[in-house]
Amino acid sequence: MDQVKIYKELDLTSAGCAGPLGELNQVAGDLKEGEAVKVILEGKESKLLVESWAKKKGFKVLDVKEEGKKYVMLIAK
Amino acid sequence: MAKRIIIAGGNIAGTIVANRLAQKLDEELNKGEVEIVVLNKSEEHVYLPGQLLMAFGLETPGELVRKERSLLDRRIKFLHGDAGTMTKIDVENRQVITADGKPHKYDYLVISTGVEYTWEEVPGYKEASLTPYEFDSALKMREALENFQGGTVVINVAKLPHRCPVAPIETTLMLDDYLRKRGLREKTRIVYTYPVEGVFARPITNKMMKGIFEQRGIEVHSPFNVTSVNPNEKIIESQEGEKIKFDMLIAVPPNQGAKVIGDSGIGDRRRWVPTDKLTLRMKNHSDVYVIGDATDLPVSKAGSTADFESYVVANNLANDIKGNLGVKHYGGDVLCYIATGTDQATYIRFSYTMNESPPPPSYIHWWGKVMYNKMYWTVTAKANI
Repeated sequence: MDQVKIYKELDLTSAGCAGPLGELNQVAGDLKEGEAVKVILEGKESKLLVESWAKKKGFKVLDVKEEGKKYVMLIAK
Repeated sequence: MAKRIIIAGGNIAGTIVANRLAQKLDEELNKGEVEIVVLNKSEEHVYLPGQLLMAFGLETPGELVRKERSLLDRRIKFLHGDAGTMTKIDVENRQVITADGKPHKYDYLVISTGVEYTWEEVPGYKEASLTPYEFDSALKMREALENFQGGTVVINVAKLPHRCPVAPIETTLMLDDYLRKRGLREKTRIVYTYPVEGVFARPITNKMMKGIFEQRGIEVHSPFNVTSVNPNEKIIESQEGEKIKFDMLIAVPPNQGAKVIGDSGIGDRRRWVPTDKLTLRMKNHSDVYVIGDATDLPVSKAGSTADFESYVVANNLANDIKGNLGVKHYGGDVLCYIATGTDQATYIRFSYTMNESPPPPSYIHWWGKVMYNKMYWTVTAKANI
């Protein structure tokens, strides 16, 4: 975990037409080895959706923190 | 000395914000205390959202193009050609360099450089496809549709996000209707392919549109992330391992920010400019604003987004100069009409805090869409509302 560099922080609590997965799909695709994207989501449903997406696409969920109604996740290649 | 505001890029976002700024700084412009300069490569302004209608023969090319100069307040300076082609945006030294080698110093900068299509990300994609996203290809698409006699049509979205996010849905439903009216629908398989699950990434719209796709017999293959296209064999292939043979491929090319953003080292890896979601200032640069497709915000890359953002940017920039207007915040507002045929539509209106509630498709909303397009030149572009 200490080795991971955060490439980008994505606030997806209010994602537009690309939705949280559309935005994440793009940024995660640009990740290099040793990098992670920090994702902020609202609601458990979004968190589960991202976890399922990460599993299917072969990304690692390094960390999940609950902050009130929000979830902060670290996703790496 | 006059304070100089540079608008880096014309088209929808740059034109609206330039005109709105001219209104906000009317007195200062008249007294020569402020100068507004728009830089843009092309002398012409193309209304991109109209290209889809043109591809279906519902709009003529001449309706979609105007001279940029004719749309701007007469007090705004407009530079085009080499004099308006930006080669570097130097935010550290507060200057923009153009292709004629001239540095343009600024006190405030608005980045409205838009989107560029990076077809090369998908081998074979451009050669094999038609797209309403490019003017010339939209005209070819019109001709190809006129000559079409049936077969498999694949609609593919290469990557998200992309500009005019509802256009792939519109293309698909307009195509379905167009073919029904020509008696060709039974001879045609329509296949919609999308990078994430569903037909659209917002759940409410996705549910409604999926229902319409199902009723119309449109196949949906998603997630489908295109990796390559074979233009000779006419096969599109996905990361998920699917191969689909087509007779016509209608594509939404990969989008990135403008090349000058990458060359200037001020964007992320896809050349989107880091932007504060509320004030629309470039992050860590209080004298730079970002508007429209150029931002890295997870909002829709749509003309209406740029229009909503223009109120915030013009107000906040004028406030930076005059100091008496207060700070406005962008609420993530978006409005998109969605054509569900060649004479019916619905719409979605949402923001950071409000979800959409699309009404049932009707002729009334189609009329609204057409009127919105028609009013662009006289009302929206000139910031008359």
